[in-house]
Amino acid sequence: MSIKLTAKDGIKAGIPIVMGYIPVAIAFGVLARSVGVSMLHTQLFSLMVFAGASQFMAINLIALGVGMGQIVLTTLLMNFRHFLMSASLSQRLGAQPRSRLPLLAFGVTDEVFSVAMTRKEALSRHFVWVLQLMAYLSWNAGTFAGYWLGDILPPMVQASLGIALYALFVAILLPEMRRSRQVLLLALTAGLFHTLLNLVDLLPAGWNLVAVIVIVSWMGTYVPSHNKKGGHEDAAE
Amino acid sequence: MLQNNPFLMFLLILGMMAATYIPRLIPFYMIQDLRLAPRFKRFLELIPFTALGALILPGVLTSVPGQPLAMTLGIIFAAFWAWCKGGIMVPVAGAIAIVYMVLLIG
Repeated sequence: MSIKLTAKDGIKAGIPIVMGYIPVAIAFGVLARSVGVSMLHTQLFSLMVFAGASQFMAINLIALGVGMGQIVLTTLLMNFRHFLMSASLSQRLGAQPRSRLPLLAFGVTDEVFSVAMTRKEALSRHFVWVLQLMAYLSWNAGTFAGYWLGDILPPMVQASLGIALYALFVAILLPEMRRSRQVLLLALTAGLFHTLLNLVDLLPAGWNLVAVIVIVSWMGTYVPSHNKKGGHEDAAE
Repeated sequence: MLQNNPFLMFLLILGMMAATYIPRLIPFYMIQDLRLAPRFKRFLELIPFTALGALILPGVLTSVPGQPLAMTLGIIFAAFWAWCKGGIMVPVAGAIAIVYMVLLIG
């Protein structure tokens, strides 16, 4: 952890996020337009909310004629996972000037969090900022392009882009799973547990994910970690 | 309908912004000056991996609607490449290309 990641490192690390975001943001623009949301509001979603899954959810609920209060509440439930991610990222970043916290917090998306937190080097806020800025710009550029150009893209291309974010998550996670048997065990458990909870359909939207993260991470603190490649981590005493 | 009322749409977006930003912001202020118990610290360190596992499954199964074969082949390629060689660009670009090719053939 002696090397500290700089803004320049952020540019390189941010490219896969851009690649993953643009197609998904295009899909968002296409969807919003098809439901009859204006261009201005579509862009405002991406500029102000900046949360992929919630934005898709909102458009789908708008199409169904669901009311505003329920959409906002569902957003809150869905984004409670970012509460956990911000806590985790904040702990890793260490003390930062308080005036910088609001800007750091705005861009805590699943993808920025995943890319930043799986780095071995020490994080700096500049590194995280660059990741967030690249994510934000590509999300908004993609939204704009999707609204105006979405119809030009053949449906087959649009469909195949749906895999992009999942491929990104897989590409981030699998090397970590290979490196540590504990990560392998916990990530698999989390995925299977989440699948199971979704099948049971017990909790409101978004809470399955939160429950899985909390329960499996906590269980993980009781699993000793034996890193294959010179790791030093141990389970908390 | 909501989408036909510009003012209500703006209110909705504003509400969603608050519902997204506040959960992202609060922990930064809570954690900063806190001395954390070792187990809680470990808990926070494990969140990326459990979150990733739960973000992938079961969502990936429906990522290419109605095309389970294309989706499976694409993600298997991404997983195989990431496991053996690492990197991010090749798995992402390769998965998209494979899904597209399978859709083209099928």
